[in-house]
Amino acid sequence: MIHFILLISRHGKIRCSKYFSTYSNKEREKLQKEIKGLTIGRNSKLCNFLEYKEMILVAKRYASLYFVLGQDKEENELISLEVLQFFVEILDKYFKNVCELDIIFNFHKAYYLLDEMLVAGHIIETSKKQILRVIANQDEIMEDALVETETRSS
Amino acid sequence: MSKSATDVIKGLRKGKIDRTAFLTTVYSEIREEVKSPDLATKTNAIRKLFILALEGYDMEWASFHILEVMSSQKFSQKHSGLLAASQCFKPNSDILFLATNFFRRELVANNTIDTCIAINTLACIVNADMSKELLNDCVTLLNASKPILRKKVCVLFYKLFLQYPDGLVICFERLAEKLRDESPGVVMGTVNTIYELSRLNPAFVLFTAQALYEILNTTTNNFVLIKLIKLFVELAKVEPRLLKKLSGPFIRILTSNPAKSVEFEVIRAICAVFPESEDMLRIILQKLPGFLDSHDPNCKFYIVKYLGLVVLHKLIQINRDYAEEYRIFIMEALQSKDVTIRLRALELIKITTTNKSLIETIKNLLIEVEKPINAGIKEELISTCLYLLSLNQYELVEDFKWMFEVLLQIVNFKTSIHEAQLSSIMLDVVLRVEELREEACELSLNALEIFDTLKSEKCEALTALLFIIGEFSNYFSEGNLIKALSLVTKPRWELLNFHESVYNALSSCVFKIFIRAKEDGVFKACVKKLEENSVQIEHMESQERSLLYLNILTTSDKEKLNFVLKPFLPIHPSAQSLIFPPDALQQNFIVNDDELFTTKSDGTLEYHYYREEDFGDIQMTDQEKKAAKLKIKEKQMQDPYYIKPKKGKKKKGKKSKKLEGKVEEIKETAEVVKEEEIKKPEAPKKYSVNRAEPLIPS
Repeated sequence: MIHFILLISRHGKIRCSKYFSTYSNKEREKLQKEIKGLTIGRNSKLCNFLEYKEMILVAKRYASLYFVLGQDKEENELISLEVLQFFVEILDKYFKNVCELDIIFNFHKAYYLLDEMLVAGHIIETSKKQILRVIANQDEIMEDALVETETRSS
Repeated sequence: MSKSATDVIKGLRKGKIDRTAFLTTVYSEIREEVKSPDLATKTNAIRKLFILALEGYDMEWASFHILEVMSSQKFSQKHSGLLAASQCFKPNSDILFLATNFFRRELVANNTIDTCIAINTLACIVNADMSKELLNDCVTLLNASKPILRKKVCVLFYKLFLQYPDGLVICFERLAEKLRDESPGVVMGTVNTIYELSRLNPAFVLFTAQALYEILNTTTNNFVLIKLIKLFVELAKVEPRLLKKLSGPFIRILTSNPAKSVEFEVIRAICAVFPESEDMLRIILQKLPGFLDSHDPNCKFYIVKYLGLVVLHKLIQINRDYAEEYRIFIMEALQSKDVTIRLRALELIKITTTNKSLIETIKNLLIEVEKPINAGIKEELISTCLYLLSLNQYELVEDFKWMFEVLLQIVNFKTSIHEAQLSSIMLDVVLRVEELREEACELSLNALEIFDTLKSEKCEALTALLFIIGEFSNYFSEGNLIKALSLVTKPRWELLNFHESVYNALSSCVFKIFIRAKEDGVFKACVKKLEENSVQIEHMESQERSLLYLNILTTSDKEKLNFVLKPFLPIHPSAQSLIFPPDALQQNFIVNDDELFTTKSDGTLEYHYYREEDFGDIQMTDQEKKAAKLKIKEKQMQDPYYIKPKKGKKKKGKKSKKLEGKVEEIKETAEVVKEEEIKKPEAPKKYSVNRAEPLIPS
């Protein structure tokens, strides 16, 4: 299974961190620090798979963000790379040509999209259309609520 | 007007402000805001807190407020609350006691979206108690009308089972039914959960094999396919009959599916499940060139992984020579820029080296050790070398002189981890290979010339070299013998403060050289060296040994010492059983048996020199018994191996009667002494260190 996903900026800022396994706050900090060291600045000609403790890290850089995924040793690395690719494509479709800024200001949307894609560390939906439909639905409800409060206050 | 989350983000991105000060201000604002009874303000505060948590601030103190926000009726607030909860709550958090009811309400609510987002969060934070409470509601959800709910719940079950294993027995069958669900997402979720369970207990999920097999043959989703392939590998471990059914689908998938990830998975599965099959091997080997020629570094990673699997399982069984083709590739992989690939290549080298390719392989490995780029994997490179050299008792080595030179070369790399193994290999190979000894001596002698550079923590290498020189000095020519002697008698040995074992080896070496040599001058040099050793070296054991050797040398006849010339030879472990024990080692040999004496009523000890059972059923008169006693005692006196009982207050039986009176005297004096001791205070012990006297009397 997938244990965590991290989105790290070029300068080492964590833009998004989702943990599917239990890690204490201290463990998370240590993990993030070590992974930053391992992935940032890694030559893109090297392979995307690194061994880290008893896991394998799958790291890929998209523009200015490093997408890092931590998986069990038994998992198929190439398919995890697909998972990352899928995530990026969904973000791209949702934000219409996504860039790092979108994720900085709308981090909660990134989390919601991730939630539709992966639950308990497993991929459960492989259709982009489906996921985007669900999120669009959620957005609508939130919009309605917003309109409601505005009409009430006005 | 309080800041919104967006304001905080913008504030952080402004170039000129002091981040820490800004964050501290925001943090204190949040602490105030979050106490507000108005849910909108609370939610805002929680959203800002989330941003701060990404910067490293702690969120746990706000757990209760997060729970309140989660329980809001408004979707946007609930959503934000659940997001914060999934990030901040942990299975061991106390807040979860209160959260259970909330989740139960959400799970049974009629609102699909609310239930969905609740499940999302639940998957991250569920603990054993919650699992138990919510299990039934989750089972009900398995039959929900919306597929998205069923899909999420299927995957949630894995977490529930992990926390509450008893639940597994209750509801697994209901979960397994979902394999035949019409929605592919639900099937995917179920397959995922069953796969994770099969890793823990494959026999338990075996009954689902039929349904899984159908999915294997019908699905087009690569994610599902990969999970299924892995699942079947786990199941095949407990049900060998599955193997027949699997070969068809595996071959079909391997030849038809274009995705490299699936190809790799099938190959891995075949290697795990069908290690013997020739057909499979042929198909796999067809696929390899596709990977070999690829420029994608990920493919390189996979090829070394592939080869590791393929070669490991099959080629070794057939013949190591098959691996010849891939040797060039493996050597290239060893020079790859990626350290992960280099390490994998080392593993492959261990498997694929033959005796023909050994020399070149070792040569390449040693070149790699010297490159600065390999500083991190130096240990692994050297251990690979040693592994190959000593594999199957040196099966791969044809030229032992070359091997010894390689070992000496490795000594110069000074890796402390390998030194013990290295020196044991050196000694072993010199002992076993008779033809090597002459050259080994000479090489060791040359290596020892720079002995000061060979100092390390335990100096095993130095000890080994000294042993070789000493033990096989009969192979030295006269000139070399003198050279060896001059080397070991240099005063520099004492000055450099080596480990104790070096000095022990040094003394034995000097001793053995003397035995071989024929000149008087040698004798004097050896004696002088041993004398020096016994005085100048700090370690007591080394001093003791030097003195011992010195005494042997100066007092014994040289002819009698020729036993030292007998070579050390390796002995087969079963050899001991071929030697019969001598007569002295009798069966019923009593060694220091405490039952040999008893305490009589007046406190004195009586020694028995026999045991009643030794006499068996023989009826004897007292006279005869006494005679028998005396006889046995006599025998024991003359027996050199009999350990006499402790010299207690009583002496041996014969004299016991005469000493009885004396024993009483001794007892009295002992009592007197005791009393005196009680009166006087204890005097402190004094140790006198005699530094003036030389240890060897002149």
